[in-house]
Amino acid sequence: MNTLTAVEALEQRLGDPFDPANPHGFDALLAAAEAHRPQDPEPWRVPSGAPEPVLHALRAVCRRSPTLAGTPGTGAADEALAVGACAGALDSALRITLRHLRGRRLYGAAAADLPVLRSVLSGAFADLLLCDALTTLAVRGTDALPDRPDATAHAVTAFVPRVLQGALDRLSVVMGSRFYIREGDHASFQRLLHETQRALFGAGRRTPERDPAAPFPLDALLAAPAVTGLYDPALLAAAPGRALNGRARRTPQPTGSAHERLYADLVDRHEANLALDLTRRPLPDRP
Amino acid sequence: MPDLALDTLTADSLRAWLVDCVATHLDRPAEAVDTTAKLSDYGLDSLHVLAIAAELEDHLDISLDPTVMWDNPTLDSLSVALVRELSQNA
Amino acid sequence: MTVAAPTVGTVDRFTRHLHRLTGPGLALDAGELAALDRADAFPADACRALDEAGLPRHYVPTEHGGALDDFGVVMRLLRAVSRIDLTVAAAHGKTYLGAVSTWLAGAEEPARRLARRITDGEVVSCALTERHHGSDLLAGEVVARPAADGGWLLDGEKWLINNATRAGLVTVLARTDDAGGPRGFSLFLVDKARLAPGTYTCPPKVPTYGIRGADISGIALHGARVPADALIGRPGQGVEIIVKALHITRTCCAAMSLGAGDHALALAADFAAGHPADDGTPLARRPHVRRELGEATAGLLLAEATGLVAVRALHSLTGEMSVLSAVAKAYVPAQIDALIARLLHLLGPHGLLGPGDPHGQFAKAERDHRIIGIFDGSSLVNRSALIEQFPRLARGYRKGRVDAAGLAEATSPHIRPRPFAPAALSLLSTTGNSLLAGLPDAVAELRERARHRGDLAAPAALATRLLDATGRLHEAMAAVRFPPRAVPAEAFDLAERYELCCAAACALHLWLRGGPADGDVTWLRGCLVKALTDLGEPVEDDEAAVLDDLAGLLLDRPSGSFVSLLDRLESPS
Repeated sequence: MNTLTAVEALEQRLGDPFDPANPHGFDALLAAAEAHRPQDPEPWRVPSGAPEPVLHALRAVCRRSPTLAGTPGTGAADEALAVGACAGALDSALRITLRHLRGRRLYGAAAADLPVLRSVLSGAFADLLLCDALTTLAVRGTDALPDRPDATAHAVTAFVPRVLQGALDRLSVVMGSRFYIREGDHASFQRLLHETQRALFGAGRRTPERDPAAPFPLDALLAAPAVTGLYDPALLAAAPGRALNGRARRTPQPTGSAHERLYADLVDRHEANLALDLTRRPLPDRP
Repeated sequence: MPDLALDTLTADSLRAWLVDCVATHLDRPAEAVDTTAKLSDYGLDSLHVLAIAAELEDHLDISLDPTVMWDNPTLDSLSVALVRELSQNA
Repeated sequence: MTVAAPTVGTVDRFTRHLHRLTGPGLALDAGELAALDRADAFPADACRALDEAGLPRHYVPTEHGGALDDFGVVMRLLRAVSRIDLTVAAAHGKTYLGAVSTWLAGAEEPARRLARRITDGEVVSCALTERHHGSDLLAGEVVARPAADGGWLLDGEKWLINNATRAGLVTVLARTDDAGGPRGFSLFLVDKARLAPGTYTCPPKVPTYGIRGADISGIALHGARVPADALIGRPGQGVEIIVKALHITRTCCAAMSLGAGDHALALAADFAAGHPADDGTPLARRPHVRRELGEATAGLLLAEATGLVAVRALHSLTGEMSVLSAVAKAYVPAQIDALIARLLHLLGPHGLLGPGDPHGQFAKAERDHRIIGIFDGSSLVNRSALIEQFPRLARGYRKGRVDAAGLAEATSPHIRPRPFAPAALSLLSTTGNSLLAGLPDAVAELRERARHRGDLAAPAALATRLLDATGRLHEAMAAVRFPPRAVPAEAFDLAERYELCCAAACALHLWLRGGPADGDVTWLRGCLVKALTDLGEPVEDDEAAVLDDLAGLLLDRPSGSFVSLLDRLESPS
């Protein structure tokens, strides 16, 4: 309960990011970034507290600007918070992409009706859930795999950043030229992508001790009771980012019923203004 | 669909085959397909037409120049043009 | 057979000239170009320097008085520019896209006039896309209506057009039949200087994520009257001409991707070689860093093989370009984007996205290169084009339809290509794809050679697995059935795998034809390992170790140079 109230207060203070009149909204943030104008840090301040409420508060900031979530400390817990917070940027990127596709007609049909574009959306959504499950696990300090105590840390420092960035990159392909321009309705997409990339891979980030691409027991982690309670394992299993654990280089998108359920859930949450992570917390966004 | 073979192809037999094919794509009876109407009037855009061409190609084991279809928008003109093109290439 | 020595001379002279211009304060100085990028300012000095170096002549076919008689040459020139700065390459190379429709239409007088303008330094643009339709050209709303005196009146806006404001001439696709359709559009070469005042405006430059200095703007026509001779080809030929033009330009886009990939890979390798890890030894000594650099090198060589063969195929497999241009445009930029992303993920936290890259060149290459996968038809558009052709491609493969002479020529880089014949371009390939239909013979030849050369056993085994995967893929392609507009998402995965099979086939054909019979086989092994890995085929650990050898090629290369197949294929045997 405490989790939601802290983050809800922050969300209310920062308001609907899609509202053009909101001084903390996407348009205002873009204008400030273009003018190299720093933000007043006060409204963005995340109150200290227990790790999980802080994660969600940071995520509320990252929904709008990963840069404003600040540089984390160097401890393992700080790392999980910093990486997990970036799922907020993917949440926004998914919403922007969905809005764009719904407003665009291609080859005589609504772009959002093209199956290939839908599967990219459902895949990015599954990746968000996967990343949330892993970072939540790390932030809670849950020992999901007692015989592999380093698995969660490796997931968070080496795996989750690449899954989040990969999902953003695939969404950028779907956004096409609208991704590439820094003005207009969807210009915040490129800013979020760029800021997330810097937050996850910029200089000064903790560098993984060993090969970041080295396989780790992802399936065992996801099968741990601490994770299966968080979300439907069948949908986590459809996350394209799972392919980044190991040799595979292409990320197959969700298909069949997993895809259908993910897409329906994504659209439901978008229309009901609920967060796309495991909390489904209400957001101040207008439909 | 009526059988169709390259060596016995006529404009009539080709037209009958195309009518059936278009009817299947439109999910309506063959009688309801007007061979003097433009395919685009049925809502069949260039993508649909390409799909129909692909079926014909598969069926006859040939490759068609899509501009033949662009330049002959009705089934009547298309079947005449295709038979002419195929006899030239034979 | 002619050894294309003059080719090498032209490219080398040009490359050396560019290198001299990278000095402090000169037109291609990295610091200057970075400053322009930060300011969203057009690199005018750099483009002028390319004009002075004679690059525009290479956009004009020799029959019209220019120097273009081998697309492989213009590709290497643009690649050399892209290694330095992609904004400059995209801004300068766009003139070819602006002109190519006129070259294809074939009328002599307009072509000669345009050729003169280009060699005099005129910028030519090409305006296809509109604000609300993007790549959906048949939805275009710019119209051209016949004027009373024989000319045409143009109305409407083209948007997100590279060089729309800078250009003196703009090729415009406009609707000439209200009903639209593939015969409902025509092309016009609009000469801005001859438009009545007030009949055109250029909306402001749009700020972009990368290639920040580029003039990405538009042109709005308000009853703009153009003379009758502005029409390119005949009325209704617009879509046909532009689709064929895209077969050429989409293929040549590979040059820009390869140049950006060369640049990013060199920056990453130099950084990893010079940057100490926590224990004081260079990052590049760490096994996983070396492996990643090797894999990136393999990815670059696969992309290069694809680009090289596709560009040569414009001459010798012209009728198959509906397939090969889509493969090149979908695969090469995606491969380079992935290569840059993986290097960024690996080395960014160590400083490659910050102090380890003083002019921010790696970050700039990352931002800039993403445009190549978007413009001129995105990877989604090109994969759709491949999927449309699946039935034909599956049939051609099953029947083993190969244009053997065309294939041999496309994969023999030391042979001067036959003259390009625009009339042989076809909207859809009638033969299929000789690169893959010719794969069984190529694999058989490699296996045969392996009987007499022990070190070919490993690549022959890899190639056999590639052939097996290619066969299974074509069966899956033949089984895809769908109503239009309901292309299942899975078909796009097949298209991606198709591209990978083509890329690997290009590498194999090139190794067989392009190099000496006793040539080093390391790079081919690396390419096959990378392609099989990307295809999701099992690859053993000891097979993947060849990637570490490829990292050696990269890390041990002479300072200031790049790893390229061309050095391995065209060195005198």
